[in-house]
Amino acid sequence: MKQYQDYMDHIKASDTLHQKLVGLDAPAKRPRAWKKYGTLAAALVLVCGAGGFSVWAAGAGRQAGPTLFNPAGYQTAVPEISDVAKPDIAPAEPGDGVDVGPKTIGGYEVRGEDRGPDTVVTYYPLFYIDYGDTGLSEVQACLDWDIPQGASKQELSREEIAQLLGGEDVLSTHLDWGGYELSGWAAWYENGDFWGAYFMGHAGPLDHFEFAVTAGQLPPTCIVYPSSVEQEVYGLPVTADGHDSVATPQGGVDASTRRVSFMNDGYGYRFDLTGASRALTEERVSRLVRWVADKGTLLVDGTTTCSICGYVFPAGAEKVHVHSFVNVGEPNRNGGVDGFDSDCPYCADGTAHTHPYNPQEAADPSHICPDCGSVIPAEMGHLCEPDPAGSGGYACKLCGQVFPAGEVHSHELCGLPPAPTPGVHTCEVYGQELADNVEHSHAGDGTLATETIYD
Amino acid sequence: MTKGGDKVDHSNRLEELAIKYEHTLFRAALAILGDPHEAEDAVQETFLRYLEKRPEFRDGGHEKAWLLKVAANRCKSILRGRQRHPAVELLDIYPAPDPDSRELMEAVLSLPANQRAAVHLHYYEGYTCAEIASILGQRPGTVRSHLSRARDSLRKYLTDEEDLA
Repeated sequence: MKQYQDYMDHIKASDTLHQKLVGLDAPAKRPRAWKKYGTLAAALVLVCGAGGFSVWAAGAGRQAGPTLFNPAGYQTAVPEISDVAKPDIAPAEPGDGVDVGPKTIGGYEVRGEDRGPDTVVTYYPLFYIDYGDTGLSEVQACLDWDIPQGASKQELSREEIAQLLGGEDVLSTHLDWGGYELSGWAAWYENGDFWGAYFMGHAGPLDHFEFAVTAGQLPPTCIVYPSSVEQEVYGLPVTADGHDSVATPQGGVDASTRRVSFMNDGYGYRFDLTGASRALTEERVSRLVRWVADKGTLLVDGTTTCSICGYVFPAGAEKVHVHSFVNVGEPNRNGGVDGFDSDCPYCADGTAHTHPYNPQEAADPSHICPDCGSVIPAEMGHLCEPDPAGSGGYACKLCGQVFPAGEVHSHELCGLPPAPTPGVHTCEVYGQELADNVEHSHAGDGTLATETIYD
Repeated sequence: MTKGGDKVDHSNRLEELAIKYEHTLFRAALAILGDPHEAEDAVQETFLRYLEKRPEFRDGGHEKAWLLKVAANRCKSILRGRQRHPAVELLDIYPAPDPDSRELMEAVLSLPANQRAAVHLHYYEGYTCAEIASILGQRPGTVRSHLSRARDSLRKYLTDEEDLA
């Protein structure tokens, strides 16, 4: 890359740019977006009259429902045109790719590491989404899942869902899903490609959601919403609809349902949220759309499908999935007698292989090498063959040492590097160190990549 | 300190920062965007952000990383609006000194923007994957993945061990 460095060395910022930089004036402190919009919203409320339903006159000219004015939860307004045209530098960095549009429902802030007055507070503006009104009060989500034949489906725990979405922090801070019980599943085609995932959140009889994502298409549904509204939100074409169920004698709303569906970066998303608070329901939908728009396909990048056995697990920098050609074992995972995972063809047919070691799943922390009979301690790798020299013993294929039959010979597999080590390789992607003759594969950013590591 | 004094100090500080980092930021923005005009915009907006936030830096490394982080974010914003602003040919404006360099630069410029950003910050600025992850707001594994894929694409140009590390 010397040529790259040389090329870049010759590139300089122009004098014009320098003059512009040193001549910059500090911008006047702009009010936080929510303050500005809140002020305008208050003014609009005064104009329209307290307590009355309001018509949103700007934008698409569509009559908006009363949800637009919820003083407790919303700050809605039409920003000045000059503000929209300017580069938006008010929000701090992470969310700043999204310029404030003509309608927002305020936003939310995430405080960085607390450093007193210098603490960075990131502001994420949330667009208002027009849902129209389907007039339906008893619609049940009816996702008609048609998982292709041969695809594998895996139930997901809350932790795995969190991992798929980017971590617990994303759930609680960005999506505001902290109060939901989460469950779901994900499915992969036979060749390991991601097919789709479905998450459910439940926080009470009137607070629940369904979230689905599928590759290449919108998640299937058997419901057609004739009054849905199509619009662009965060740069994404979003179809939205919703309704409020009226249950109280005074005609009050006891639950609001809001649905959105959209495509982003080759994946289809459908989010269907019901909540007792209309404002909160719409805010959470906007949060999810914002998050997907900002993070792209992160939602489906978080899984790894092993190209060798098809085993699917949430990806993580530390997660290692190792296969060997002959007999590397982990506790009770070798020999395929009892099987480890019915979805793994190698477990089913007894081919020697390994899975990520999980001590909690191992009833017996040791295993017996089916070739030499050694009892291999937990978390130790073992790879042997009959001694080619004919001693009657076995030769370790990791270090070359010849050991007599019955003698325990093992290498540490997870706590790398193995010792003694004739050769260790470092995975270019995740940096794990792996012994010679060990095939190592994983997906990076959703695309399956396999690298075979040999001498 | 008087208000006027503040302004003078501030102006000096801005000039100091501009002299120190304008080339660094411009190169990084150019590597990501491939368009000098957009790169200049990104650098200007970075300094505007600095003026607005007036962050206190622990040291020079923190200062540089903060500015690069803001610049990278501005570049991301610009890239999102690219449909209306197609990038110009960088090599027409900054010609490569020889055919080999041009071939390499064409290969680098043909990489996706996130890979270009990782390549520039690693191979030119010398940042580690963890540091790049912090600057670009990505996970270290994602940065390693970008670098790994970029290396695959550029393998014929990566000759010494350091390049391949």
